[in-house]
Amino acid sequence: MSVYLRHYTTQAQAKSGKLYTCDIYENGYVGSVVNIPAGNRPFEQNVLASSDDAFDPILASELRANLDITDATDIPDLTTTNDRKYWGKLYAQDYPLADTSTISWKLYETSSPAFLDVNLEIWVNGVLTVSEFSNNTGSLTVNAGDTILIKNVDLISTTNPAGSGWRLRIEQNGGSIYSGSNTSSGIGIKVSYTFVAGNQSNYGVLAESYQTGDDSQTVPQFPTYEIFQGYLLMDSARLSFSTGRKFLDISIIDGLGMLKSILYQDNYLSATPTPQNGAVMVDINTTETLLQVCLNCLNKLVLPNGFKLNIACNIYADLMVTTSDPFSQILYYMRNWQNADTTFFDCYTILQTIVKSFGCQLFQANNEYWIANVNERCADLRYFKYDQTGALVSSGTYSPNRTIKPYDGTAPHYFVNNSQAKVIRKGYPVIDITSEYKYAPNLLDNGNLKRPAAISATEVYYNWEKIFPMPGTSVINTNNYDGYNWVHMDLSTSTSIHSGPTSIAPVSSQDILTLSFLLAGRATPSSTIPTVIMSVKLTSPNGTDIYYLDNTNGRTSLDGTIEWLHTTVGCKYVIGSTTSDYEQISFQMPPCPIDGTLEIRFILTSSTAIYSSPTLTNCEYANVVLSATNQYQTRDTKAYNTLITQYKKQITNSFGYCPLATNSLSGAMLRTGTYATYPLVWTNWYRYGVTEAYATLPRLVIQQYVNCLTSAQINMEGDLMSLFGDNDASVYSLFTLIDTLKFQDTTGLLNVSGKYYIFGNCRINYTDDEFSGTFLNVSGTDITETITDIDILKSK
Amino acid sequence: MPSPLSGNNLTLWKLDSGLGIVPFAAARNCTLNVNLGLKEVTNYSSGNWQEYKEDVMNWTITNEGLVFNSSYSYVLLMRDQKTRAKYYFQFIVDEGAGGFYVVSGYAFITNISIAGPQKDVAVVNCTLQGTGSYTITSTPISSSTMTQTTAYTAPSDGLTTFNVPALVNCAACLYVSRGGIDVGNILTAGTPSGNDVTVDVITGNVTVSSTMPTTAGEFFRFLYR
Repeated sequence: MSVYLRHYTTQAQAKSGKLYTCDIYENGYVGSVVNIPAGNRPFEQNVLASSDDAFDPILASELRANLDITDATDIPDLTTTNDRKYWGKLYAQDYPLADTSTISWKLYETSSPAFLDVNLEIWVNGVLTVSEFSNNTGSLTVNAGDTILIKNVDLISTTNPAGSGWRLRIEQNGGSIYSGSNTSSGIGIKVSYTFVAGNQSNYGVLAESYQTGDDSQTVPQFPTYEIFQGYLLMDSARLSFSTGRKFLDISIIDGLGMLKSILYQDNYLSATPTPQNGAVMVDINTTETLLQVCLNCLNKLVLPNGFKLNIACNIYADLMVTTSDPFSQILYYMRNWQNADTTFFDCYTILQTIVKSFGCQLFQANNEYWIANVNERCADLRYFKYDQTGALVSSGTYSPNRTIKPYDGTAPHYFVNNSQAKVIRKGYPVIDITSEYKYAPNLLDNGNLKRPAAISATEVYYNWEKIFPMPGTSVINTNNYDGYNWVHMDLSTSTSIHSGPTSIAPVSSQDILTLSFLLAGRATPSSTIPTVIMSVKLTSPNGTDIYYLDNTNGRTSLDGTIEWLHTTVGCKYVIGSTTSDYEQISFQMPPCPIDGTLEIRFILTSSTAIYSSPTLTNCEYANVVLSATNQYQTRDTKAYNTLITQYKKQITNSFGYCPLATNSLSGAMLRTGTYATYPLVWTNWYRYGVTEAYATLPRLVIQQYVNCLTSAQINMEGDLMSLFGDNDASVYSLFTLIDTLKFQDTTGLLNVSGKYYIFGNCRINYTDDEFSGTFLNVSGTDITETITDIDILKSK
Repeated sequence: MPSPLSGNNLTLWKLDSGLGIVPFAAARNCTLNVNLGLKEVTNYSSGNWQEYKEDVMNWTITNEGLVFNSSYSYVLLMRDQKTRAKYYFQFIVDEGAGGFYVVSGYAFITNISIAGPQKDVAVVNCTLQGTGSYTITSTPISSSTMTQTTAYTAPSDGLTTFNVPALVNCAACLYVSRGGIDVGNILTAGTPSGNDVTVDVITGNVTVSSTMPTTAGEFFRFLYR
């Protein structure tokens, strides 16, 4: 994979005093960096909420950059079709005011394996300004043209151990201007350096003692605030076509929208896809944690520097470990992400499904992705931060609250332009979460037989075994025609041969299964009606209970009704109806009598002692689908304070609605760790720090919707400053999408004091230090309402 | 009681690539406008009053009725505007014994109007739009030609020639004032008359007209490079 190297850079200073830099990296670029001046309002981020719904699951953003290309001879290739050719990132740095410079200093005295004294002095125009005697950091502002003398001083008599000494390192704007060292023991100045302060320069000074085993220090860097990263989207670039100054407007997207066109898995046997290809190259009956699924989706963006994902959702099920995030403890079958045509969902749909089911939002803030629960943002956020490999980077709590006050010269954030307004949205007396009782389209892996065998001795196709119980000259091999891959079985001189799938989903009691496949009798005589014996065996998890699907009255006739025989061995005779090439066979089984695992076999046999006649000599089958349905259509979880109303909030949900142990449904979230005996589902959900538990996840999530949406919401609109917390050194980190707003309000009309707000649709203008848009009212306080579950039966 | 400042004490200078710091011109009116932008922060607690906070600043200089000198002309002005470049200007306030205050900064020549009314004097006006901050110093500063100032106080009455060492070997004497008032022409040789002065840049000698010798304590200010 080519390396991304920086090709373009644009800078602009903001009203906040920060210097914003947008670097654009190009895949495979070799050459020097091109500086393009910033244009008008050069850096604006648009937060693209699809509505004023606080539970909008994915909050995508784009960064609009306006560049002055009047004198530029090298600009990004606007005609490229490669969506990932250019990767951009925006960051801010502290920037000294005009005619000043900043010096960030650090004093470090090594103490391992032995202590070695050192002290720091900074003289400005002959005046001692900084004098430090122990480990410390700090900064000072000097005027351009000031004479700066920095001394690394030892004031006590110290014998330095072997391999140790004193060092002074100074950088200007990230580049070294001095690095000197001294290993001579004794009192006095060890190293010193004099320079004249430049204009608007950031200096880093490290005065240290060092030794073998402790050479750990680096020159302090001036604070850098990572803001945004993404790919340049050329689809909406805009270029002046006139004289005068020319500006280029480009869009850098955070990648979440790109995921709509990226499938979770690609269905290709080879690197070159063809219409005939359709092999699914993963076993769909394997599980992944929801954390892994989220990381897999975001990794599809192939961001050059990787990414961080913060899980700030503290919803746990009974028996889960609360010292880890819940997503890493939930297993989910890959087959549930498949469509009926074996293609996979796109990554955007998958992330949306996961995030929405937990009442969360996914967005990028501070250059990192966040999955944050809406209700939890009213208090300190517990988060678990992972990198793109799934390694836990850190965990902790983050305090997201920022208060917007009337401007009085000290307020860190305040309204401007006198445009602020309260916007009322009617509450919903009824909130309805609908969860569909559905299953993956195929419970068998490699049902279309496109993925070739891995072990040819025992497999006919991947996860399809071939069994020759009796010796002879029989054949089980592959065939291909009419766009299908077939299993070809020829009994020849053997007594019986079997083949069948080895990867089948476990099923649950009352699941209604349907098995369908194409069946052909291709061998001579060509006019043979295709026939095959099916063995479908259902075994309980402990192995003691066995049921056989049977339509032979226990192997005594060929025209029995389909039923499950308990313990008695039975089979399902399949007899075609035509001598044409092949035909579609499909039969529905009665509801499963127990939870359990299935064994499915296609059998040819000449033994009339075991099975009834007629003798079956050959058959071919293809495109095998095991599907399932349930007697119920949906589960409706309803929260209401009155049912006589036209205002109803309808939400679809996908996870966690299943009754206990119904693990075959696509909404089943399976247990991990010591609780993963038979694949049981997590139940009894609760929020971290709250006692009350809910039997299913939709019941907990609907409570969160009730907290926010039952009462009228008083949303806020307006223009705000400042992004970096004007006038308040304690509020010095960048205001981002993860933060929650509170508004100081002493009016009596629809007072919003004490309410919490998250970002809705808004625009952040970094150089003007303003953000404007809509802020959505959320709440973490439980409101008591009646919550019911109704399972809706399927209509007959 | 403070004395009003005469308009003659405000002069505008331009850094020319060939000529160095030159008096831009004389004008009937020369106005320096400095504006502070404001951001409205009115809120519910403003008590029926609008409130503002500081925003960005800008400055302009407008000149009406420019009368050009030998160093600069309306042709040069139009030439400079055509380059669409910014130039370094100095707006100098001479407070006599109080010293100079120099407002310096870069500006674009945004507007030139030349009117030729029938039966009247042609009038040239221009507007300069500042870009970026200006600086205010008590010493004239130049971005590249090291224009400097020096002063001399006459020790006694009746002097017609005196020496100013700082002027020795200077490239040019650009400006002279006596008691805060501009002199007339600055000659480089010969005998001055009236309000003129002669500055000998080789010896540093300054000669005033015999009809206007120094008075004791009279304050001279020189701009030179």
